[in-house]
Amino acid sequence: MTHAAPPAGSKFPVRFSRPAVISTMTLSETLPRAELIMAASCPTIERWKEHLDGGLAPQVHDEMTLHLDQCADCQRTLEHIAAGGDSLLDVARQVGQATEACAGHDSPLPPSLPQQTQAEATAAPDDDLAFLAPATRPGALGRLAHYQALAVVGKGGFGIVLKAFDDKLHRVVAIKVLSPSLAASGTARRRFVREAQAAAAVKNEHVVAIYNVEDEAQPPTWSWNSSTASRCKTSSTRLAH
Amino acid sequence: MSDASGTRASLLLRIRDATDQNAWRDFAALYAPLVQRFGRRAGLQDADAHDLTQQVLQAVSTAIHRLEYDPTKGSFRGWLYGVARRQLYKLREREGRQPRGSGDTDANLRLNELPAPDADDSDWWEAEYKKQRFLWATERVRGDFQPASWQAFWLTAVEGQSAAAVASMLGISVGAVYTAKSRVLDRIKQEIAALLDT
Repeated sequence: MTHAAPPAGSKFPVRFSRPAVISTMTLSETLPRAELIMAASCPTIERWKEHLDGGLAPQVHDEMTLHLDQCADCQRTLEHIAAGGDSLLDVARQVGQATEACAGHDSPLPPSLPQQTQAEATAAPDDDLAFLAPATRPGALGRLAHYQALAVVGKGGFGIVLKAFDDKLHRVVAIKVLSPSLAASGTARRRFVREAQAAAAVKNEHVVAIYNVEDEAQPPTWSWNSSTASRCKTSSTRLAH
Repeated sequence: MSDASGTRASLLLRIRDATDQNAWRDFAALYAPLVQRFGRRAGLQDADAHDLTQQVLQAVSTAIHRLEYDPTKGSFRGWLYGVARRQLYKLREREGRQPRGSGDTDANLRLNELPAPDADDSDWWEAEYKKQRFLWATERVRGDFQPASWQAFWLTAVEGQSAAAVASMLGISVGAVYTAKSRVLDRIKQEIAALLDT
Protein backbone atom coordinates (compact mmCIF):
# COMPACT_ATOMS: atom_id res chain seq x y z
CA MET A 1 0.00 0.00 0.00
CA THR A 2 1.36 3.39 -0.94
CA HIS A 3 0.64 6.79 0.61
CA ALA A 4 0.07 9.74 -1.66
CA ALA A 5 1.52 13.12 -0.64
CA PRO A 6 -1.08 15.52 0.86
CA PRO A 7 -3.00 17.30 -1.90
CA ALA A 8 -1.65 20.66 -3.03
CA GLY A 9 -3.02 23.51 -0.88
CA SER A 10 -3.54 21.23 2.11
CA LYS A 11 -3.92 23.08 5.39
CA PHE A 12 -1.44 20.70 7.01
CA PRO A 13 1.89 22.51 7.22
CA VAL A 14 3.93 19.31 7.56
CA ARG A 15 4.32 16.84 4.72
CA PHE A 16 4.72 13.47 6.31
CA SER A 17 7.68 11.51 4.98
CA ARG A 18 6.35 8.39 6.66
CA PRO A 19 2.85 7.03 6.20
CA ALA A 20 0.49 9.65 7.57
CA VAL A 21 -1.52 7.24 9.66
CA ILE A 22 1.51 6.21 11.71
CA SER A 23 2.56 9.83 12.31
CA THR A 24 -0.87 10.69 13.61
CA MET A 25 -0.85 7.79 15.99
CA THR A 26 2.55 8.76 17.30
CA LEU A 27 1.49 12.37 17.84
CA SER A 28 -1.79 11.47 19.46
CA GLU A 29 0.11 9.72 22.23
CA THR A 30 1.39 13.10 23.43
CA LEU A 31 -1.46 15.47 22.46
CA PRO A 32 -5.21 15.15 22.98
CA ARG A 33 -6.88 14.59 19.66
CA ALA A 34 -8.95 17.81 19.69
CA GLU A 35 -5.85 19.88 20.28
CA LEU A 36 -4.05 18.12 17.47
CA ILE A 37 -6.81 18.88 15.03
CA MET A 38 -6.96 22.51 16.18
CA ALA A 39 -3.22 23.08 15.81
CA ALA A 40 -3.20 21.45 12.43
CA SER A 41 -6.03 23.58 11.06
CA CYS A 42 -5.02 27.04 12.36
CA PRO A 43 -5.09 29.63 9.59
CA THR A 44 -1.77 31.16 8.55
CA ILE A 45 -0.67 34.67 9.50
CA GLU A 46 -1.37 35.79 5.92
CA ARG A 47 -4.90 34.48 6.29
CA TRP A 48 -5.38 36.46 9.52
CA LYS A 49 -4.11 39.60 7.81
CA GLU A 50 -6.77 39.10 5.13
CA HIS A 51 -9.32 38.58 7.89
CA LEU A 52 -8.31 41.94 9.41
CA ASP A 53 -8.69 43.69 6.06
CA GLY A 54 -12.17 42.22 5.69
CA GLY A 55 -11.47 41.06 2.13
CA LEU A 56 -12.36 37.39 2.62
CA ALA A 57 -15.49 35.73 1.27
CA PRO A 58 -18.33 35.78 3.86
CA GLN A 59 -18.19 32.01 4.31
CA VAL A 60 -14.44 32.02 4.97
CA HIS A 61 -14.85 35.01 7.29
CA ASP A 62 -17.46 33.11 9.29
CA GLU A 63 -15.27 30.00 9.52
CA MET A 64 -12.35 32.03 10.80
CA THR A 65 -14.50 33.83 13.35
CA LEU A 66 -15.77 30.44 14.51
CA HIS A 67 -12.19 29.22 14.82
CA LEU A 68 -11.39 32.31 16.92
CA ASP A 69 -14.14 31.35 19.36
CA GLN A 70 -12.05 28.46 20.58
CA CYS A 71 -8.41 28.94 19.66
CA ALA A 72 -6.56 31.02 22.25
CA ASP A 73 -3.38 30.85 20.14
CA CYS A 74 -5.09 32.45 17.17
CA GLN A 75 -6.75 35.06 19.42
CA ARG A 76 -3.28 36.12 20.51
CA THR A 77 -1.89 35.89 16.98
CA LEU A 78 -4.62 38.11 15.56
CA GLU A 79 -4.26 40.73 18.33
CA HIS A 80 -0.53 40.73 17.88
CA ILE A 81 -0.77 41.25 14.11
CA ALA A 82 -3.35 44.01 14.59
CA ALA A 83 -1.49 45.91 17.30
CA GLY A 84 1.90 45.45 15.62
CA GLY A 85 3.34 44.07 18.86
CA ASP A 86 2.35 44.41 22.48
CA SER A 87 3.07 48.08 23.06
CA LEU A 88 -0.18 49.41 21.57
CA LEU A 89 -2.17 46.99 23.75
CA ASP A 90 -0.18 48.17 26.77
CA VAL A 91 -0.96 51.80 25.97
CA ALA A 92 -4.65 50.93 25.55
CA ARG A 93 -4.74 49.45 29.05
CA GLN A 94 -2.88 52.45 30.51
CA VAL A 95 -5.54 54.69 28.99
CA GLY A 96 -8.20 52.46 30.55
CA GLN A 97 -6.57 52.59 33.95
CA ALA A 98 -6.21 56.37 33.76
CA THR A 99 -9.91 56.65 32.87
CA GLU A 100 -10.87 54.43 35.81
CA ALA A 101 -8.71 56.50 38.15
CA CYS A 102 -10.59 59.65 37.16
CA ALA A 103 -14.08 58.15 37.06
CA GLY A 104 -15.11 61.26 38.99
CA HIS A 105 -13.78 63.50 36.18
CA ASP A 106 -10.89 64.63 38.36
CA SER A 107 -8.67 64.66 35.33
CA PRO A 108 -7.00 67.63 33.74
CA LEU A 109 -9.24 68.14 30.75
CA PRO A 110 -8.12 68.94 27.25
CA PRO A 111 -8.97 72.55 26.44
CA SER A 112 -11.19 71.74 23.51
CA LEU A 113 -12.95 68.91 21.80
CA PRO A 114 -11.63 67.69 18.48
CA GLN A 115 -13.82 69.18 15.76
CA GLN A 116 -15.15 65.87 14.54
CA THR A 117 -16.47 65.02 17.98
CA GLN A 118 -18.32 68.30 18.17
CA ALA A 119 -19.71 67.82 14.69
CA GLU A 120 -20.81 64.31 15.60
CA ALA A 121 -22.41 65.55 18.77
CA THR A 122 -24.55 68.12 17.01
CA ALA A 123 -25.38 65.80 14.12
CA ALA A 124 -26.96 63.06 16.24
CA PRO A 125 -29.28 61.15 13.96
CA ASP A 126 -32.91 61.08 15.04
CA ASP A 127 -32.82 57.33 15.78
CA ASP A 128 -30.44 58.02 18.64
CA LEU A 129 -33.06 60.17 20.33
CA ALA A 130 -35.93 57.80 19.62
CA PHE A 131 -36.20 57.02 23.34
CA LEU A 132 -37.34 60.60 24.05
CA ALA A 133 -41.04 61.26 24.54
CA PRO A 134 -42.49 64.33 22.81
CA ALA A 135 -41.31 67.58 24.42
CA THR A 136 -43.69 69.49 26.64
CA ARG A 137 -41.60 72.65 26.56
CA PRO A 138 -41.00 74.78 23.44
CA GLY A 139 -37.54 74.39 21.91
CA ALA A 140 -36.80 71.10 23.67
CA LEU A 141 -35.74 68.06 21.66
CA GLY A 142 -37.93 65.74 23.70
CA ARG A 143 -38.68 64.55 27.21
CA LEU A 144 -37.23 61.77 29.31
CA ALA A 145 -39.07 61.29 32.62
CA HIS A 146 -39.03 64.80 34.15
CA TYR A 147 -36.09 65.98 32.04
CA GLN A 148 -36.61 68.18 28.97
CA ALA A 149 -33.73 67.43 26.62
CA LEU A 150 -32.33 70.71 25.27
CA ALA A 151 -29.25 69.67 23.31
CA VAL A 152 -26.85 66.80 22.69
CA VAL A 153 -23.56 67.45 24.51
CA GLY A 154 -21.73 64.31 23.50
CA LYS A 155 -22.34 60.88 22.17
CA GLY A 156 -20.62 57.60 21.56
CA GLY A 157 -21.15 53.90 21.29
CA PHE A 158 -22.09 53.47 24.95
CA GLY A 159 -24.49 56.30 25.38
CA ILE A 160 -25.36 59.89 24.92
CA VAL A 161 -24.99 62.99 27.10
CA LEU A 162 -27.79 65.54 26.93
CA LYS A 163 -28.17 69.04 28.30
CA ALA A 164 -31.60 69.05 29.90
CA PHE A 165 -33.96 71.00 32.12
CA ASP A 166 -35.08 69.25 35.28
CA ASP A 167 -38.82 70.01 35.58
CA LYS A 168 -38.93 68.95 39.24
CA LEU A 169 -35.97 70.93 40.56
CA HIS A 170 -36.07 73.72 37.95
CA ARG A 171 -32.46 73.68 36.97
CA VAL A 172 -30.36 72.84 33.95
CA VAL A 173 -28.56 69.54 34.26
CA ALA A 174 -26.54 67.25 32.08
CA ILE A 175 -27.90 63.73 31.80
CA LYS A 176 -26.11 60.65 30.65
CA VAL A 177 -28.29 58.06 29.00
CA LEU A 178 -27.17 54.50 28.39
CA SER A 179 -27.35 53.55 24.72
CA PRO A 180 -30.78 51.93 24.11
CA SER A 181 -29.04 49.01 22.37
CA LEU A 182 -27.21 48.25 25.63
CA ALA A 183 -30.07 49.06 27.97
CA ALA A 184 -31.48 45.55 27.55
CA SER A 185 -28.27 44.00 28.89
CA GLY A 186 -28.25 43.40 32.64
CA THR A 187 -24.46 43.61 32.79
CA ALA A 188 -24.38 46.92 30.95
CA ARG A 189 -27.10 48.37 33.20
CA ARG A 190 -25.34 47.31 36.39
CA ARG A 191 -22.06 48.69 35.11
CA PHE A 192 -23.75 51.98 34.21
CA VAL A 193 -25.30 52.36 37.66
CA ARG A 194 -22.03 51.40 39.38
CA GLU A 195 -20.21 54.06 37.40
CA ALA A 196 -22.75 56.67 38.51
CA GLN A 197 -22.50 55.57 42.14
CA ALA A 198 -18.71 55.78 41.99
CA ALA A 199 -18.90 59.28 40.53
CA ALA A 200 -21.49 60.37 43.09
CA ALA A 201 -19.27 59.22 45.94
CA VAL A 202 -16.55 61.70 45.02
CA LYS A 203 -16.89 65.23 46.40
CA ASN A 204 -14.40 67.68 44.99
CA GLU A 205 -14.51 71.08 43.29
CA HIS A 206 -13.32 69.52 40.05
CA VAL A 207 -15.93 66.81 40.20
CA VAL A 208 -19.46 67.33 39.04
CA ALA A 209 -22.19 66.44 41.50
CA ILE A 210 -24.38 63.54 40.50
CA TYR A 211 -28.01 64.48 41.20
CA ASN A 212 -29.87 61.42 40.24
CA VAL A 213 -29.56 57.90 38.95
CA GLU A 214 -32.59 56.40 37.25
CA ASP A 215 -31.83 52.76 36.82
CA GLU A 216 -35.51 51.87 36.42
CA ALA A 217 -35.84 54.28 33.53
CA GLN A 218 -35.75 52.93 30.02
CA PRO A 219 -32.95 53.55 29.13
CA PRO A 220 -31.07 54.20 32.42
CA THR A 221 -29.85 57.75 32.99
CA TRP A 222 -27.86 59.81 35.40
CA SER A 223 -27.74 63.54 35.73
CA TRP A 224 -25.40 66.20 37.05
CA ASN A 225 -25.01 69.95 37.41
CA SER A 226 -24.76 71.48 33.96
CA SER A 227 -22.62 74.51 34.84
CA THR A 228 -19.60 72.24 34.94
CA ALA A 229 -20.94 70.03 32.21
CA SER A 230 -19.54 72.08 29.36
CA ARG A 231 -16.12 72.01 31.01
CA CYS A 232 -16.48 68.27 31.25
CA LYS A 233 -17.54 67.90 27.64
CA THR A 234 -14.57 65.79 26.75
CA SER A 235 -15.01 63.60 29.76
CA SER A 236 -18.68 63.22 28.99
CA THR A 237 -17.88 62.24 25.46
CA ARG A 238 -15.37 59.76 26.72
CA LEU A 239 -17.86 58.41 29.24
CA ALA A 240 -20.39 58.15 26.49
CA HIS A 241 -17.99 55.86 24.66
CA MET B 1 6.97 50.91 16.07
CA SER B 2 9.62 53.45 15.19
CA ASP B 3 9.42 57.06 16.28
CA ALA B 4 12.37 58.04 14.13
CA SER B 5 12.49 61.80 14.13
CA GLY B 6 12.89 62.25 10.39
CA THR B 7 9.61 60.54 9.62
CA ARG B 8 7.67 63.02 11.74
CA ALA B 9 8.54 65.99 9.54
CA SER B 10 5.47 65.78 7.32
CA LEU B 11 2.79 66.94 9.80
CA LEU B 12 5.26 69.68 10.70
CA LEU B 13 5.59 70.60 7.03
CA ARG B 14 1.83 70.83 6.83
CA ILE B 15 1.54 73.18 9.81
CA ARG B 16 4.07 75.52 8.23
CA ASP B 17 1.34 76.31 5.76
CA ALA B 18 -0.67 78.89 7.70
CA THR B 19 -3.69 78.31 5.45
CA ASP B 20 -3.87 74.58 6.19
CA GLN B 21 -6.51 74.68 8.93
CA ASN B 22 -6.83 70.90 9.03
CA ALA B 23 -3.13 70.52 9.81
CA TRP B 24 -3.41 72.90 12.75
CA ARG B 25 -6.54 71.22 14.01
CA ASP B 26 -4.90 67.77 13.83
CA PHE B 27 -1.84 69.17 15.48
CA ALA B 28 -3.70 70.91 18.30
CA ALA B 29 -5.99 67.93 18.93
CA LEU B 30 -2.92 65.80 19.47
CA TYR B 31 -0.56 68.10 21.37
CA ALA B 32 -2.72 70.66 23.21
CA PRO B 33 -4.12 68.15 25.75
CA LEU B 34 -0.58 66.97 26.43
CA VAL B 35 0.64 70.50 27.21
CA GLN B 36 -2.49 71.16 29.27
CA ARG B 37 -1.78 68.12 31.43
CA PHE B 38 1.86 69.15 31.70
CA GLY B 39 0.73 72.51 33.08
CA ARG B 40 -1.67 70.91 35.53
CA ARG B 41 1.04 68.53 36.67
CA ALA B 42 3.31 71.52 37.29
CA GLY B 43 0.66 72.83 39.69
CA LEU B 44 -1.18 75.34 37.48
CA GLN B 45 -4.92 75.94 37.75
CA ASP B 46 -7.03 74.88 34.75
CA ALA B 47 -7.22 78.41 33.35
CA ASP B 48 -3.47 79.00 33.73
CA ALA B 49 -2.70 75.67 32.13
CA HIS B 50 -4.97 76.74 29.27
CA ASP B 51 -2.97 79.99 28.89
CA LEU B 52 0.23 77.99 28.92
CA THR B 53 -1.15 75.75 26.18
CA GLN B 54 -2.07 78.73 24.00
CA GLN B 55 1.40 80.23 24.49
CA VAL B 56 3.10 76.97 23.60
CA LEU B 57 1.00 76.64 20.44
CA GLN B 58 1.83 80.26 19.59
CA ALA B 59 5.52 79.58 20.16
CA VAL B 60 5.35 76.47 17.99
CA SER B 61 3.64 78.41 15.23
CA THR B 62 6.41 81.03 15.26
CA ALA B 63 9.22 78.53 15.65
CA ILE B 64 7.90 76.32 12.85
CA HIS B 65 8.15 79.21 10.38
CA ARG B 66 11.65 80.03 11.54
CA LEU B 67 12.60 76.33 11.17
CA GLU B 68 13.79 76.24 14.76
CA TYR B 69 12.88 72.61 15.07
CA ASP B 70 15.53 70.41 13.48
CA PRO B 71 14.29 66.85 12.91
CA THR B 72 17.85 65.54 12.73
CA LYS B 73 18.42 66.57 16.37
CA GLY B 74 15.62 64.55 17.95
CA SER B 75 11.91 63.86 18.06
CA PHE B 76 9.34 66.62 17.73
CA ARG B 77 7.73 65.78 21.05
CA GLY B 78 11.14 66.06 22.71
CA TRP B 79 11.54 69.51 21.21
CA LEU B 80 7.99 70.44 22.24
CA TYR B 81 8.78 69.37 25.79
CA GLY B 82 11.55 71.97 25.83
CA VAL B 83 9.19 74.65 24.47
CA ALA B 84 6.59 73.79 27.14
CA ARG B 85 9.19 74.02 29.90
CA ARG B 86 10.45 77.40 28.68
CA GLN B 87 6.90 78.77 28.44
CA LEU B 88 6.15 77.52 31.94
CA TYR B 89 9.25 79.33 33.18
CA LYS B 90 8.13 82.55 31.46
CA LEU B 91 4.66 82.27 32.93
CA ARG B 92 6.07 81.89 36.44
CA GLU B 93 8.47 84.74 35.86
CA ARG B 94 5.56 87.02 34.93
CA GLU B 95 3.70 85.93 38.05
CA GLY B 96 6.82 86.64 40.08
CA ARG B 97 6.95 90.23 38.80
CA GLN B 98 3.44 91.05 40.01
CA PRO B 99 3.68 93.58 42.86
CA ARG B 100 3.59 91.71 46.12
CA GLY B 101 3.31 93.19 49.59
CA SER B 102 6.17 91.49 51.30
CA GLY B 103 8.78 91.13 48.59
CA ASP B 104 9.33 87.82 50.28
CA THR B 105 12.39 86.32 48.62
CA ASP B 106 11.41 82.78 49.49
CA ALA B 107 8.03 83.22 47.85
CA ASN B 108 9.64 84.56 44.67
CA LEU B 109 12.08 81.70 44.64
CA ARG B 110 9.24 79.25 44.92
CA LEU B 111 7.33 80.94 42.13
CA ASN B 112 10.34 80.82 39.84
CA GLU B 113 11.09 77.26 40.62
CA LEU B 114 11.16 75.06 37.55
CA PRO B 115 9.99 71.51 37.62
CA ALA B 116 13.08 69.43 38.25
CA PRO B 117 14.52 68.39 34.89
CA ASP B 118 15.00 64.84 36.04
CA ALA B 119 14.51 61.67 34.07
CA ASP B 120 11.16 61.08 35.75
CA ASP B 121 9.70 64.17 34.09
CA SER B 122 10.66 63.28 30.55
CA ASP B 123 9.52 59.71 31.18
CA TRP B 124 6.17 61.13 32.29
CA TRP B 125 5.99 63.26 29.13
CA GLU B 126 6.80 60.26 26.93
CA ALA B 127 4.22 58.00 28.59
CA GLU B 128 1.59 60.74 28.54
CA TYR B 129 2.30 61.42 24.87
CA LYS B 130 1.72 57.78 23.98
CA LYS B 131 -1.60 57.73 25.81
CA GLN B 132 -2.66 61.00 24.21
CA ARG B 133 -1.62 59.79 20.74
CA PHE B 134 -3.71 56.65 21.29
CA LEU B 135 -6.79 58.68 22.28
CA TRP B 136 -6.23 61.04 19.35
CA ALA B 137 -6.08 58.09 16.95
CA THR B 138 -9.21 56.47 18.46
CA GLU B 139 -11.18 59.68 17.87
CA ARG B 140 -10.07 59.70 14.25
CA VAL B 141 -11.10 56.12 13.47
CA ARG B 142 -14.22 55.79 15.64
CA GLY B 143 -16.60 56.86 12.87
CA ASP B 144 -15.41 54.01 10.64
CA PHE B 145 -16.90 51.32 12.90
CA GLN B 146 -20.34 50.10 13.92
CA PRO B 147 -21.21 50.81 17.58
CA ALA B 148 -21.06 47.10 18.52
CA SER B 149 -17.56 46.74 17.02
CA TRP B 150 -16.46 49.86 18.81
CA GLN B 151 -17.81 48.65 22.13
CA ALA B 152 -16.13 45.26 21.66
CA PHE B 153 -12.83 47.04 21.15
CA TRP B 154 -13.20 49.62 23.93
CA LEU B 155 -14.44 47.23 26.62
CA THR B 156 -11.74 44.61 25.98
CA ALA B 157 -8.65 46.54 24.84
CA VAL B 158 -9.10 49.71 26.92
CA GLU B 159 -11.18 48.62 29.90
CA GLY B 160 -9.59 45.19 30.13
CA GLN B 161 -12.83 43.21 30.34
CA SER B 162 -12.75 39.59 29.21
CA ALA B 163 -13.80 38.75 25.67
CA ALA B 164 -16.34 36.26 27.02
CA ALA B 165 -18.03 38.86 29.27
CA VAL B 166 -18.15 41.43 26.46
CA ALA B 167 -19.46 38.83 24.00
CA SER B 168 -22.39 38.01 26.28
CA MET B 169 -23.04 41.70 27.00
CA LEU B 170 -23.19 42.56 23.30
CA GLY B 171 -24.85 39.32 22.23
CA ILE B 172 -22.11 38.36 19.77
CA SER B 173 -19.58 35.50 19.69
CA VAL B 174 -16.13 35.57 21.29
CA GLY B 175 -14.61 35.24 17.82
CA ALA B 176 -16.58 38.31 16.68
CA VAL B 177 -15.27 40.26 19.72
CA TYR B 178 -11.67 39.39 18.83
CA THR B 179 -12.28 40.23 15.18
CA ALA B 180 -13.77 43.63 16.01
CA LYS B 181 -11.14 44.46 18.63
CA SER B 182 -8.33 43.57 16.24
CA ARG B 183 -9.78 45.50 13.31
CA VAL B 184 -10.04 48.67 15.41
CA LEU B 185 -6.51 48.18 16.78
CA ASP B 186 -5.24 47.70 13.24
CA ARG B 187 -6.83 51.00 12.13
CA ILE B 188 -5.42 52.82 15.17
CA LYS B 189 -1.98 51.42 14.39
CA GLN B 190 -2.29 52.68 10.81
CA GLU B 191 -3.46 56.10 11.99
CA ILE B 192 -0.44 56.41 14.26
CA ALA B 193 1.85 55.25 11.46
CA ALA B 194 0.33 57.83 9.13
CA LEU B 195 0.98 60.53 11.70
CA LEU B 196 4.65 59.63 11.55
CA ASP B 197 5.17 59.53 7.84
CA THR B 198 2.43 61.08 5.75
